[in-house]
Amino acid sequence: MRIDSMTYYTVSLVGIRDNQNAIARLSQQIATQSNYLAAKDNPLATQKILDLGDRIATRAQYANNQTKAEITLKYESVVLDEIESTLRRARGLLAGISHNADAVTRHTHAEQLRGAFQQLLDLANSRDPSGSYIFSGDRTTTKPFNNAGGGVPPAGAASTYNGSTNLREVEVESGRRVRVNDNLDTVMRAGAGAGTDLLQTLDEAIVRLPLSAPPGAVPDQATLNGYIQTIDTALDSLAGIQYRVAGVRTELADLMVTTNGLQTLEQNALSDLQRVDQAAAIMRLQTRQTSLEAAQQAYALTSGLSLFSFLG
Amino acid sequence: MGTGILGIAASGLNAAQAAIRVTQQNIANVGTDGYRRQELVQSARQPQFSGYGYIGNGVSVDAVRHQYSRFLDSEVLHSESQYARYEAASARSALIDKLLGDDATGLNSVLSGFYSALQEVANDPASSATRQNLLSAGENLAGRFNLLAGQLREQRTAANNEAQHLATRINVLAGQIAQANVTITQNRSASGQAANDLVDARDQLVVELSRLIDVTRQDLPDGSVNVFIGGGQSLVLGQDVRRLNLVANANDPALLDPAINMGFERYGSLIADPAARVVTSGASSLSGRISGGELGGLLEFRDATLMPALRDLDRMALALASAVNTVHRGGLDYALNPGVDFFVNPVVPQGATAGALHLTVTDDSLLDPVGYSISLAGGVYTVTELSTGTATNHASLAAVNAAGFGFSLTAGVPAPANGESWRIGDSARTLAMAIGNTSQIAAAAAAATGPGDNGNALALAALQSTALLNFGGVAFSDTLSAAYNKIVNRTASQASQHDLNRDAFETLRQSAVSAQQSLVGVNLDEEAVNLVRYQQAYQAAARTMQIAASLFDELLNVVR
Repeated sequence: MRIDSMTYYTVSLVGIRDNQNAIARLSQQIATQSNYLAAKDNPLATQKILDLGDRIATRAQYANNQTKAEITLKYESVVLDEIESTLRRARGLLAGISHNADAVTRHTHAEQLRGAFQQLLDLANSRDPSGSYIFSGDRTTTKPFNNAGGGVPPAGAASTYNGSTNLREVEVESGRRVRVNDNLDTVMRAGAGAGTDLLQTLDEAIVRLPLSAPPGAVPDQATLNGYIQTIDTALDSLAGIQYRVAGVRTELADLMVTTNGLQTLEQNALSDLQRVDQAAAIMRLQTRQTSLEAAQQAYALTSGLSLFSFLG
Repeated sequence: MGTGILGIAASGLNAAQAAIRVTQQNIANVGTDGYRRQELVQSARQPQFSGYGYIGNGVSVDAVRHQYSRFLDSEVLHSESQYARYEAASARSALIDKLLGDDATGLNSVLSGFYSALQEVANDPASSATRQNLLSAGENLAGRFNLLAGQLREQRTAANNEAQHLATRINVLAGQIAQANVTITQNRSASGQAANDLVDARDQLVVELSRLIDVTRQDLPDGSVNVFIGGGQSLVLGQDVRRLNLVANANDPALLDPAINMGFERYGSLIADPAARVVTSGASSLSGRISGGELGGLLEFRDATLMPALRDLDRMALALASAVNTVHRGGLDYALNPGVDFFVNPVVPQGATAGALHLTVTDDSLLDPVGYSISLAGGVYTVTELSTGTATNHASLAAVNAAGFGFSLTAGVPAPANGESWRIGDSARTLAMAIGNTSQIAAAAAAATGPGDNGNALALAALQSTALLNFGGVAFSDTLSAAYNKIVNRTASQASQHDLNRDAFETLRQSAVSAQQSLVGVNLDEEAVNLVRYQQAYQAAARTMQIAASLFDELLNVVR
């Protein structure tokens, strides 16, 4: 075949240019550790990478929600445990006294009960680290339980509840929600309104125990047993809440393990898709360098060849 | 007899000289684009009868001929045109591909950031920190939509400018081709011979034209060519040309399409003023009829990659803003007041309009690609589809909603009043936050009694997994992020297809050009051999002349 001089001299330029392109691309892949420098390099893989990236971001947010829910519930469970031990202390104080104990003992127990009363009130009005009341439902800025104490014998001061029964759920996985707070009113005022009032009962004990004569008079054994009964009812309700919280925390712990595992899986899948195989890339780079040198050699050799050089 | 001897020698000398000049011309033009190797056509002169037989009369130079093959030329024309098309489309799509697909400029990270911020508000609804974070995430998301739409709109403007620029260059070339036609036919009729160099230069102009737009050429017996573009529209007919201008696209007034003038003009006026102008009449649009050259690639990129991406972003922004707003208005803010719009209402009041219309996307595949304008007068809603300008009247909002526009409207507060008007469209570029205060975030559900309720924040966060769009062909099949990923994927597929086509046509072009050049290109070694050959022929002819002269001398000496 006949070949024209321009083609003859420039044919190796194509090879040089192709090899230079490939080398630039490989260097960039190695430098960025990334297989694809633009979406168009592999549209199918890009779609997978984007979908995976979205899923990883969503899962990271759910993992974050799980951690936050766990922190909230752990905080609540610590407060609930404190409430339980305070109630048990109050029950101990009431069980440890009879209606005919001496005035000093009754005074001392009443004082200690006052401490338990105050502690219970404080615990029921606990706030989380960001300052929200944890037992006021959605009225997080409102102090839920009020009881000034010091009722007029024979009755104790009644409690008021300013919280709400709107409780909060958070999403810990797509479509899966857990409740992160509880209605303590079922403990403090079992069957709110109609039923018993824990703080009122304790206040009644506090104001009546020291009395030596009517109208309050020292509560008789049946009344004392009634106080204890109220505390037991509260402890029962409390246990219900504690079981719920513990159950959710177990669920969250399981979920965190699963989420973590999936995150690792997805991260690995993403990096398999995205990351360049360094060894293979470097080998390809060397091959390309060799063929670039060959093309350059070819150009150097052919460009020097002309019949005119030999004609005298 | 003596004159006969000298005459033959002189004709040989002439022929050799002419051949050397042709060779020199070939060598001189070894690097000239479009130059075709020339060769001398010579033949033995009519012989003379001299009793004992015919005696030759020397050589005559008949023509200087250049090599060419119509077939190889048309292969080159086609592959040049397609290569230029895909190179243009590939280079431009690569920009969009990078813009949409890159983590730093794409939508994915800000979109998931927005939903994360909603989840954080749900985790701690009363916290001003999580609320502030949501405001920032909303700003970021709106800002990213604005950035992407802004970049794509710049590309749209650039495409219009480029179309105008390319049409002007096409006009220049068309004028020059017509002018060359005139020169070639004139020379031909004067001398009876084709002026090869002029033909080569004119054909090179056609090649350059084919790099801008796909052309078909028709060769006429008088040596001129006719050039057709856009599937049979004549651009050059002999010395007459039709100017390329631009008209607004029939389905999107913001786009300019090349259009060919109805009437012809002489090349002179086109060369004097080749500018392509935006016209409203007198030209027929070539939209959809250009399938090659840089202009073809530009239009293909604009219509198949750029505009769909921009329109899909607008659909996404409209769906996002209306869905978020609807849920947000259904909740209660920090102070338990009813929620207001989170993003600026995408149904934008025009002029002094105070009334509000709230939109819900019912089927985004039906939405007008450009947008709508809506006006209310005498209790009648007039809805104009901005792409085509089609206006329809509707007696009520319910009638508007039943008309199949792909959206439904409800009256807001204050209610729409007669004389008011609104506009929908350009949603991605104009997406913006409507609230700027943390307490305005309606995180609480309608039944909430305090700021610790997160019901509405959860409902907003649930939009992440809600199919708001219809990018898969089935109504409400795609979440926002899935829809976005589909845009990226489509753009990437097109860009990669353009790359593949560009590479394929580069190979085809190279082989077409080398096949053509193997016939018409100059080989310097070959010319060197020719040079030696003709030099020797010249020397031999000169030698015979010397011999003829000495024979003459001999004869004179005998007589003396």
